[in-house]
Amino acid sequence: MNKMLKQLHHQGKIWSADQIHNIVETIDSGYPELNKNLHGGLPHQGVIEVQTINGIGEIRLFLPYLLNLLQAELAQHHQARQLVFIAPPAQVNALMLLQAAIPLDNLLIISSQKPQESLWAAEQCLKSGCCFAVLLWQQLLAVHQVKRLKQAATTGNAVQIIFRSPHSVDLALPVSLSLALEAQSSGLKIKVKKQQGGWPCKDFTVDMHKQWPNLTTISDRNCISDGVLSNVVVPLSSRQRFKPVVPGSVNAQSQLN
Amino acid sequence: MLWLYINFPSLQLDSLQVSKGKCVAGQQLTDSQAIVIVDEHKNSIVQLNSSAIKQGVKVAMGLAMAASLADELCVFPYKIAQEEAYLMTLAEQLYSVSANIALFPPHGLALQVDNMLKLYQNLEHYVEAVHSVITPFKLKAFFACGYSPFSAQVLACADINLISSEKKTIAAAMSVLSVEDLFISKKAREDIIRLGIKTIAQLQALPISELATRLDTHTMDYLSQLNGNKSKCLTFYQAQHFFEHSVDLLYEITVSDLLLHPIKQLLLLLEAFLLRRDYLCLEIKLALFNRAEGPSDAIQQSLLISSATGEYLAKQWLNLVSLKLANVKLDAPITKINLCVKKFQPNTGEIDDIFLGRKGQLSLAQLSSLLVNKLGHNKVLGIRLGNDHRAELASHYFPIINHGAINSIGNKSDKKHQQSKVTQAISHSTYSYSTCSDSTIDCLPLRPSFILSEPEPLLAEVNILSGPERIETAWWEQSSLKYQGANATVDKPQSYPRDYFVAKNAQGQCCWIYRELSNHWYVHGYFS
Repeated sequence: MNKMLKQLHHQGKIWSADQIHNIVETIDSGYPELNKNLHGGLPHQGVIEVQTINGIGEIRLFLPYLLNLLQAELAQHHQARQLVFIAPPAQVNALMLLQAAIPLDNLLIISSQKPQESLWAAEQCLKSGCCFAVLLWQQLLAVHQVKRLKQAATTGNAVQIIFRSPHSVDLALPVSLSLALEAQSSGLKIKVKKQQGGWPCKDFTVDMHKQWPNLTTISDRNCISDGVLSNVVVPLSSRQRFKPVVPGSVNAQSQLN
Repeated sequence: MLWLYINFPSLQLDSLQVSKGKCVAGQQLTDSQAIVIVDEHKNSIVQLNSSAIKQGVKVAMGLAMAASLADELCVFPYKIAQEEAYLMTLAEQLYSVSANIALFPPHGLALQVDNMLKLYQNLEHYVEAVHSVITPFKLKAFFACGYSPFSAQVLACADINLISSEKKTIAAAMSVLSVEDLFISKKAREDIIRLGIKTIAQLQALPISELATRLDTHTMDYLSQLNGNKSKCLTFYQAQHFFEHSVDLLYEITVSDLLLHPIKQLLLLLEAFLLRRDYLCLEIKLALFNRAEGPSDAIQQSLLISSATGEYLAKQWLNLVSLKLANVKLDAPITKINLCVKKFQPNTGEIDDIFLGRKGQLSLAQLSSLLVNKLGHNKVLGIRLGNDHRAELASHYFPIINHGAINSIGNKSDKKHQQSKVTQAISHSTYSYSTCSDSTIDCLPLRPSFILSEPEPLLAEVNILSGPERIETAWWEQSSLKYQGANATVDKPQSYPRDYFVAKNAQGQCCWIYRELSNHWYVHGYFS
């Protein structure tokens, strides 16, 4: 029994109550709801897994956090390290980054197609010590790969954010934080799947109306999305070409007039 | 003047064996393999290794005879150019310990000793320094001193090791040698022998005026130089301004991993070259030669390995080379590797914060060169604003390693306020935001985080959140389109004006859609 306990403890599967303070150093995420539920904010370093479909605001969720990391570095060292995008689903737009006040000089984009190359690049960037955050779009992940990324992130004092589609093959990955995102009209509904050093909490909604008034609505009532709908994964770029069609024109026309 | 002559009797053979190193794994070649170098014109063996000697092969033997004596004989043609190139490598290395190096191609060097003795105090120290340079090459060498380069040459080429500054000792060693050892024409040699003179001592005993009547002027010149009376102009080594070296492989290599060992030796030479000059290089060029069918070696593959930061360390370069080689497919076995570096930059040193130190193990430039060499130039990108208001042109990628980009990385430490840099970027790149200041970043138009490289037809029902925003094309673009006619821009039909809307679809994705004048709807981006 004792041996078994030891083994479980060694594998990090046992959490003891005194670990809560020293386990994860957090930084303000920019959203009060998120801070409240995640004990102060998002982790300063480590691996964050995000299960989401693309285009619902998953980057917007992390923008204030990334900016906070950047500004913390500027305040401390007068120079900031790099933010790396690896295998993004489409071309990253410089204007959006400028809007978020992220300087373009601090960006590195790696457009690799092979998952192996992406992982290799992510590991190199993390452990080089000259990147503060690496955003990786990768579907399949193995336990040992996440462990290596985590190790690299600790070496280079960086954070790795991995975007995956929802309901991906759900191994118990050794990530620091795992979130599942769902679109809501006022922002994002967040389910915390795993949080290192934290208790499980109820699903909650992050209100993005303050930061993104044009993309969200204030009222929470008329949700256009629920869990069932977001199961349908729509890839950002589908290669098939169709004849352009006029969409269900009632909505569009009413807005036009 | 005292000279030290170094003779390398089997330079080509030894240089081949240097490249052998650890690569023997999986190959049949071992130390017991008999290797001979054959002069094709005379069909005689000129160089051979110890196991060939053991099997009875001798210098000047014919190839057929040698082949019948030794089994599994490994034969290489004698290449004078290869020996001379290797001699230059040795001279380059020796240049660090000795000033005047006279070249005696194909396989000899004469070092002027007496002017170096002020530095090394005595001959023993000097020879020790020379030895320390030569030893790593594992060459068979004979060292001999003489009061003229030619007398030292005679001694060393007669396989005598003589380190001494005593005139008597040298003269004694010389006097024993036969006239055959002198470097004179065949006819002159026969003339001397016909006189009944067999040793150099006998020759030197004769008065010069007597000899002059019987021998031609060339021989007389040589003899007077031998005695150190007159010094002819020698060809001295002069340091090169670029680096180029090759390794000839003892056998063909087909696995790219095994190439790393000979490449490492080249890189170590490069490191020594750069370190001595306090240079860094940004780019090295490796040429891999395969055994060609034609008369000469044809370059098979040429690899350009670049580093964003100047490097001189062989270790760093080897790392980059191994990444590059991992992606290279060798079409044919490699027999020769050439490393060439022509551009250098002075080593200005990196300025690191003394208190903070370097945060990681790598600098940004090192990281990007690592990524570029593994993934390729077109995959490691930076991003910048385009000078255009249309979404597909307003932001574009650029490869991180080109020289302009490197400079911008290098100057990074000067930056204090990133924020000011942002506004600077805006004012430089886009005309419409030129009056932006720090506080007006918010007034930039709402743009999606991802732009699709090709707009896609809108297929699903959407809910429009805001819009329209009309974007028109630029008049100059249209005129240039007309001008170019059926050019590359035409196969991407971009019809303007467009009315852009922000819309949400059933999955909750925020899309950036537009309507053309033809009332066709497209998705152009996503607000992730």
